Amino acid sequence: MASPAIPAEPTDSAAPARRGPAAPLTARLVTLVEAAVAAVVGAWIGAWWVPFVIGVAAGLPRAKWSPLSRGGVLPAVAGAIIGWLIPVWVLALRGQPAGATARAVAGLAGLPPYAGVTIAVLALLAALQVWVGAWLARAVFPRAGRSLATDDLGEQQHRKNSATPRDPQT
Amino acid sequence: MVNLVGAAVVSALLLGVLGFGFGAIPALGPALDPGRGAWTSAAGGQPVSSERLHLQGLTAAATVSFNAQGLASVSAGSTHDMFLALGYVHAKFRLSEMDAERRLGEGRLAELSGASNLASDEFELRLGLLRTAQNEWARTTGATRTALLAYAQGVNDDIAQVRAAGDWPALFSLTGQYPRPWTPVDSLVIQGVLTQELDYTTGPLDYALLQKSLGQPKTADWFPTLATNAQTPYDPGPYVKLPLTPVAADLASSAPSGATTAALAGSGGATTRSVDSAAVTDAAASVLDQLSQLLPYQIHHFPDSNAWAANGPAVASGAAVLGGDPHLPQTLPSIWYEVALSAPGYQAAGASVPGVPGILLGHNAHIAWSLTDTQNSATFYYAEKVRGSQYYSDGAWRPMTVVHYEIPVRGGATKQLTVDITAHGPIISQHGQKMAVDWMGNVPSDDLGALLGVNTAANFTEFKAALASWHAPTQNFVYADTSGHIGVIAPGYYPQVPQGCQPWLPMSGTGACDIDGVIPYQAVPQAYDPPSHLIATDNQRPVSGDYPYYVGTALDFYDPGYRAAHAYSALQAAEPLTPAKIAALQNDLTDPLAVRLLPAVNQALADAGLSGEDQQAAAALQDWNGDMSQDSAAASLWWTFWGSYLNTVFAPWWQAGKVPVSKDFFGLGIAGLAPLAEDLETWTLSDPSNAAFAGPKGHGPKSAQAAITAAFKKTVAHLDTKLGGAPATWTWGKLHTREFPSITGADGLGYGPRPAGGDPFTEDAADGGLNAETGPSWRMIASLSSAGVQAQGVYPGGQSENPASPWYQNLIPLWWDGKYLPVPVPGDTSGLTTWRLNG
Repeated sequence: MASPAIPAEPTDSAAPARRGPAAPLTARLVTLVEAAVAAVVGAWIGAWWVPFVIGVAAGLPRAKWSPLSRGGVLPAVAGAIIGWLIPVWVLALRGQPAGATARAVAGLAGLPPYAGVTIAVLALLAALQVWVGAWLARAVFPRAGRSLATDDLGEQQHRKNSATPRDPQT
Repeated sequence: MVNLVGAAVVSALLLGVLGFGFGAIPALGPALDPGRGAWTSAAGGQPVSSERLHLQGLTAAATVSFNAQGLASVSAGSTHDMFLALGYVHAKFRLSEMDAERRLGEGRLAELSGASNLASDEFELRLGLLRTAQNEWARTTGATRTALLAYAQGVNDDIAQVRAAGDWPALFSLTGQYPRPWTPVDSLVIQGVLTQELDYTTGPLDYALLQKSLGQPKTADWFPTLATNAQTPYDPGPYVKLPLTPVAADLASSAPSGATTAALAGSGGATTRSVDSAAVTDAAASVLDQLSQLLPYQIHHFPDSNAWAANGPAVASGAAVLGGDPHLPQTLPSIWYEVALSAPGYQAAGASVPGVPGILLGHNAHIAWSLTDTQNSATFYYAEKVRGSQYYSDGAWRPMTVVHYEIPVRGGATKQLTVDITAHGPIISQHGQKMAVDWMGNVPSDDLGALLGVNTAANFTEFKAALASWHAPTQNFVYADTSGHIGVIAPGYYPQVPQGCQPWLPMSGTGACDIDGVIPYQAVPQAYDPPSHLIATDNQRPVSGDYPYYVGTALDFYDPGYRAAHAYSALQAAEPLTPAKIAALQNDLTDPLAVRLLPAVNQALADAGLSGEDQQAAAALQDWNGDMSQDSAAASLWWTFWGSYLNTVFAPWWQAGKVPVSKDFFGLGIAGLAPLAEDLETWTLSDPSNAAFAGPKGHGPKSAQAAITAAFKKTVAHLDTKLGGAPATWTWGKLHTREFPSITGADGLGYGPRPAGGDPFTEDAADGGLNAETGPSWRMIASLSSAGVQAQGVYPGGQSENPASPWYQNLIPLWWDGKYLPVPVPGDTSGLTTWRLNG
């Protein structure tokens, strides 16, 4: 007879895409802010690939050395989008014609000439980079690697999984 | 494992495409980077503010003053610094446009935009604008050389500043193709692009295809040397016949004619004027196919410019008045940049061309001038006898000059191109019979030196002397001065061939029909202080049939003469002339052809016994005065009828002869051929039973009256289907619009389409179809008196190429409403905003 705890707990053999327990709100907010800051700084120094790095960091097993990983991927996506929109917002705050520029860029790129189109593409590129980066990280370090995690949630989960006999016959 | 591989591949693809682009997709990562990418172009969209700027190469302080509309006034202590500052200002507001223009001329568009522009690059490199510009630069000396070098330095100062700040115009950020340093050759290439757009024609190729389709007699009859209708040349004679002037040696786009292959000299057959007409028409079709792939306006199509001058009793006050409005493709940004230039010994203002130093149309303290295209035949084609890398000419086989090019293609492999050049010029055909083109735009021309001379001329003698070195494109330079003199001269090369040759067709390349000189400068079309006190040039044939030199046939894009005749009569009727009356004529929407033909048309319709809707529609024409305003229903009826009338008469012939209209819509299509309009006008008024009405099989309407009735019924049926309702509601604005497209082709960055009046025959011309994109690209009126020159002008656009700038299209409403702004005054630094430039 199987232990009732077994089906209630995730297993280490879960696919990388499978979600772990939800991160606390604080961790998510921290991740969002950190991702936004990283994206802004990256944009201003011309490092357009920073959202990808954010994604990699967010997709790593939860580790103290990878603070972004504690909040999950979605906050990182949101943070990267916000981080990429901030420079545009700052342009507008400085009195520069950000909206008209967005419209011109859309037109020059052969897209419908609306500012919103460029903004949407911008957000999409940031989000796409984060998602793909996270996917790569999880593929390289699947959830099984979480047993090596040293953060609280990961450690707790590791212990639970270790204490639970996976196969009653063993 | 699959997951890992998938993630790695997708990551690599995403980063690769974003970082490096793929095919025509630009590298979107750096392009859209919100801190460094195309967003930084917003800086160039900000209103200009007063500031101090450091420019490398300035020898002393200079100022650039802007008024509220962005019109600029450059003042410097020397012409060197003035041209340097002008280069800087041009680049600051038009760098993308300048770079695109030089890319066009230098065959480097595909590097920017991909394989879609490869045909353009191949054509330009074959034709040789770059070779010609390099040749011109090698010969440039003195003040012109100084001006070009200073101008290039100013452009490069801006490029350096933009590079340092990273705020590139969006086009560069999006494509990842940043401008290389500017050189004097680039300016000369842009001069070449303008020359090509105004002067390179396909008339002989079209004529060959028309002759093949319609037969020689009919082609000669319908496309004569002299138009069949009444014309008003500005130089009616008497003329003098002087010996021809040799054409300056062209070392870049034609092979040296002296070299021969000694062992084979004389073995190629006789020097002959005859050509294999079947092979030539095939080659003509091949070349036209090639040209059909070019960008719009790369070759000359529409003859629509106006320039008028009046003096003495013809003007209300002062000494003289001059009006000029060159009709060109109307784009955003415009081809023009309005500016005043001031330095010791140099005071000029008007329309400049970004990429080129100086004022092309404008005034100085003593004179004012404007230009229209002369339209003469300056593009000759030669069927070459070729064997390997040799061609046969003057009794000997001669080596062709061979030039190799590499054309980088965005998102594709670099294309190799080999150009063969004979003594006539580059081989332009790609299949079958080898056809070389001898185009006067390939002859080195000191246009810039001439222009700078015009800018500083104080009287007609100096004006005329300055233009002696202007070879292409041939232009009617209309002149007025503060002493009350007016004049016009059309400098340029008018190539002549030996008697018996037919320059309106491709000619034999064996030497018998080589160009043996050009019309001497003293004998080119000109006039000075005519007794009528009026000069009007509207692209009409400038001389009468007595002129002793060949200047082209009626097929050579000469305007049918409707605007010129209307201008002369309207100006005379409005005397004494004032700037306001000139402005009214520049914005005039009267169709002179309609005015000429309406009595005959109305009479034919009255006699036709029309009923119902046809009768209602005919009634709308009865009291109409030819006004092509957008709210006129008669205008819709007239223009649709005119097209229908042309088709009723000529389409059966075109179909029977299988005229290959698709090869060149403007050069072979019924609607685009001015001689057909002239013929039909003449036949309607004085030969209503011309055999053409009967059609090739004799089943046609047989008379002008019957053709008019048939065409009108088709018109009413067409408009009823298209617009519905009563004929009174069929206003012209429902059919006809104007649009000013972006030069990038980007939707949404242009202006319009917007309902508009006008047609190709109105003074306020609208050409290019029912959605017109060609028309008055600049309107200027100068009033000249002993007190000086007062000038006003406007163009449809704005001074900045940045769509986010308040100066992107701010002048369009003024232009649209027929209003003008004072042209900036040279030396005036009292604008709202001032840049103080230091070295």
